[in-house]
Amino acid sequence: MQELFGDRGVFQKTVWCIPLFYYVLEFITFQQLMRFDQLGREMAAPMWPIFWVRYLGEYAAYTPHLFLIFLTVATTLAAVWYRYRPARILVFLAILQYQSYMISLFGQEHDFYVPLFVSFFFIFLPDIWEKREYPEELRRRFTSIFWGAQAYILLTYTMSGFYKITTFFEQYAAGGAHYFSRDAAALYVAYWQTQFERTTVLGNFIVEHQFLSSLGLIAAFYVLTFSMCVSILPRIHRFWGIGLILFHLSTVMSLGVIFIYNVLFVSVFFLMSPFASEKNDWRELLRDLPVIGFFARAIL
Amino acid sequence: MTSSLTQRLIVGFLIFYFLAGVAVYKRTPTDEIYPFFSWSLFRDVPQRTKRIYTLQITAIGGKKLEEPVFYKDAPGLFTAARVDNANYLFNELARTYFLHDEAGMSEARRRIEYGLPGGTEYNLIEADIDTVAFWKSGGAIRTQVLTSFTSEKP
Repeated sequence: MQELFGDRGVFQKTVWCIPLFYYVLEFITFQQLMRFDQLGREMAAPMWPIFWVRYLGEYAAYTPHLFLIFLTVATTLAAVWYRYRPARILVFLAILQYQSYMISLFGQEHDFYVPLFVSFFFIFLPDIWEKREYPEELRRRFTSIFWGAQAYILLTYTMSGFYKITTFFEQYAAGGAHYFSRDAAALYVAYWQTQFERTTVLGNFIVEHQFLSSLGLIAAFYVLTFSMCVSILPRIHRFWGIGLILFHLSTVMSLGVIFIYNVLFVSVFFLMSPFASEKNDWRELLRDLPVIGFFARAIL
Repeated sequence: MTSSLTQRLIVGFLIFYFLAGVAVYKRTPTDEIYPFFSWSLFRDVPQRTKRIYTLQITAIGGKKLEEPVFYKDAPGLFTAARVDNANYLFNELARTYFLHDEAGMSEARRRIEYGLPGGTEYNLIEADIDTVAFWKSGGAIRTQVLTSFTSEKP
């Protein structure tokens, strides 16, 4: 992995990936602008980053306008002038403010954690954008920061898997249904579809075919839990990106839970990973897979 | 700053973020202290028999209904709460009710009743359900009225 950080080709591909992140933010902004009519409500207590809304007084009615305009201006500027650090700082601040506002209004807003921390990482990108020779040390810093953003995205999935393990032990000890129960997927689907008041594409199928759906749940557990290992396995970045997108497809088709922004970020950071190798040999890919690779190396 | 220091800072940040996520786990109802989040989403496998909280409407805009109607059978009501994830709010209302947390109940009610006609009466219901059977047919094993509310005029 270390030799890739200083590689010229990897550096050039990393430079190409940066604007894509900001274009996704621009897309997110368009979607958020369509939520305007949901934002006119009174908020409970503003979270710490937006303490200042208490002092708006007679202008409080314009709070949603302020947040949406700030987000729009910042993401538009960053989409065009992403090479300039002030634009990257502005977009980080805009996401910090907007996410705080959304949590203050609705109690939770998970979609913005990835853009928040990735935009934070990208503030520190060194100013080396032109097509010319740069010292290896600067290239290494640039690609390392991009890798940090990738690793953060993978960490969020691993943390999700981590709590599925800890909760499995709790539920198994309590004697109830647990993650590896035969009917676990059916219970997930029935309960969450009721809670979200949604009907999903695979809902009925999952409830009726419990063995097959429990295999799907184990696959999801594998992809989530071992994601962080993939940060140092560049040869399987693209493959893992496909796995994560399939995971998101499965949650939207079973539970009706959509993390559409994550799908876009996974596409930019993993399907297009600058660290991924050009040649895809399925034997090497299998050997690199976490846990499965241990057995694959013995056979292949 | 050298690239090796940058890498060490990044790894340090990731470890810190993971530990912060563990530290905030179960500290708040949403497992987060902004900007740190545990990412413990959907960790619990729902049990076969599950206790849920919902609402039963007995009067709309001051007019008594002939038969009480459950929340899920009243699609025209609680429209703002539906946008907000209504079931999360009902759980929050029940949680604050059991804790005798008047401020928490007022906040949950404010969000549930947003846009509701004044004088709408509703019960907070505790129901034990068979998770899969309830999803298929809607029948509950046991229901109990915990308390009743009347919405104020907007």
